[in-house]
Amino acid sequence: MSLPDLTALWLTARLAFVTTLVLLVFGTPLAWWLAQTRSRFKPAIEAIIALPLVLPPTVLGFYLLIAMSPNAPFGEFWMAATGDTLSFSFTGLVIGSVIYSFPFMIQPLQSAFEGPVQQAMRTAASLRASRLDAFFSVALPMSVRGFVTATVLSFAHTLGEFGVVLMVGGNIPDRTRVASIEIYENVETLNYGDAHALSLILLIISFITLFCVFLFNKRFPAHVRL
Amino acid sequence: MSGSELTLSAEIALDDFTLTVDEHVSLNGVTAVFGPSGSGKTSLLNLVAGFLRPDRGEISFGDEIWAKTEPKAWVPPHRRPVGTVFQDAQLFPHLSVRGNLDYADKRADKTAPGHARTKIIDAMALSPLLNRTVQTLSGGERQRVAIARTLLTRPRLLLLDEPLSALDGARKAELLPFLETLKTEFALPTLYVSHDVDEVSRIADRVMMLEAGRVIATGRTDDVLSRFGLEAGRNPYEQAAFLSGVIDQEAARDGLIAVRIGEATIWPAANVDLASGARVSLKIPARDVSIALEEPTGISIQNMLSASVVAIEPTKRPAFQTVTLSVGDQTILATVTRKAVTDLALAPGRAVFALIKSATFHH
Repeated sequence: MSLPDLTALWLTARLAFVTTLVLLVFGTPLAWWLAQTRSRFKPAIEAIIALPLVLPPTVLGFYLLIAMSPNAPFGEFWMAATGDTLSFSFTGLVIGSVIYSFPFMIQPLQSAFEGPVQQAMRTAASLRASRLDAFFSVALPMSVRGFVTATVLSFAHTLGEFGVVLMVGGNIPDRTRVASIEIYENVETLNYGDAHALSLILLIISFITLFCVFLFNKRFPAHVRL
Repeated sequence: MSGSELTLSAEIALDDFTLTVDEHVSLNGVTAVFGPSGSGKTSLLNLVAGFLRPDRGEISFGDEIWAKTEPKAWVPPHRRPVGTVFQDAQLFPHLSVRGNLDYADKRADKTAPGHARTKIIDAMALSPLLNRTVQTLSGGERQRVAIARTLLTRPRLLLLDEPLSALDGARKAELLPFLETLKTEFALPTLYVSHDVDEVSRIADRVMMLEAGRVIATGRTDDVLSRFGLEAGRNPYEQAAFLSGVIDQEAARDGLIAVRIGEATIWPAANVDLASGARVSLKIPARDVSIALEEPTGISIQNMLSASVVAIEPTKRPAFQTVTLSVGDQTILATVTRKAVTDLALAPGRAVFALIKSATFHH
């Protein structure tokens, strides 16, 4: 296999890793809030989070591209703060991917945190555990399955992303040219050999990842529904 | 006398009604919070535990104010010296029995007076269960672990939220002695939520009776129960019927006692030492009676009586109906789903078989 393929694959892995990490950090508190809130804004927020499931990635990518342009307030702020444009950069890709994979992190976590875990939080409080103590000693261990599912789905979904990345990042080697775009590029240039190799690698990685989740869910005692 | 009282003077809007209480509960012995489902019993407990905040009023324990709206005061649940035993035990599924006990032990306020861990484990007979996972425990065992876990936190007030309601007849009978041990050995002031007259009359010193969010009576257990015409075995919130029969020692077997009801025989799982020919009364809870159109075979239920349908009446729950069955010259009640009544085409006069899952002696 030729060298450019591996560059794209490595970039894809980096993107998926960083995206998943960002999603874990921001998604956990948001999913926790959603699982226990009685706010009347909850349905609206849930709908916004679920949007990437139904919107064409190009629509999302289009809006992000506009927001990240140096002429838009957000893009301008970024330019002033970092001296670099957000669009067509790795950071831009991460932002796009985070938004695109948001429901894949939030929904499994939210359902893991609901019902039994909320009741267990009360039980923990009745046993003198503070909220923070109870979160780490009860809610987290009871939600292991939810965390594994959310992390793997977010990671795998980011691996497979195409539309948003293409709109926001374009096709710059080693910067924004991820595996899915590399495959597209190879097909366009009738380089079917490389397209085959890269497609097969993605297929195998995705299958193994999902297989591990299902295997884990089967083996691990089911404290929570998914 | 606020030093020895729990002050419940609060108001909170719930889904169907407003719970309003203005009571001073003595911190001595067991007080039953008694009433039908949905009367606000559990909400009252949640106010005391701190899982609900009153809209108005005050919750105080002796001189300690736990919740107050004017001026504002609030003690969060984990800072209240309250131990709650929930209806369904609520053991932590990711911890073993020992792990569940350790959880409470580690977080207990060791400066508070309490009992030794070994005494608590012995009182609830948990030594053989310590290494088990909680998933392998029976309903009664779970509740014993839950009670021990709560005792380990060294509570100064115990809240028991229908600890027997998730258990069937036999398991209830198994756990009741442990609740009595809890009362005599540990002597903690207790609020005991229940809708069961039998339990209340066995365990409670005082009763606070709730209906639709209001306290309609308080006082000594005997006084309150008799004022409302309630006696053990006659439960206003749980339908049951009584069958009278004759003990037949000849037919007794496998540790069961045989009671002849006309032609048929019922085997209650109970310990009574009565001679053949003694007349006894059996309590048959309506929810433990099922109906079959033909005599079933290959079924674990041993008590089967041929009967005929007398009447079908609605219950408070829309999905269920009460079927009155005549058995010889006596009647029993069966609670079945509306769907079953339709599917089996039950109607007055229809000949059926009554399958009885539990029968207890009634004195």
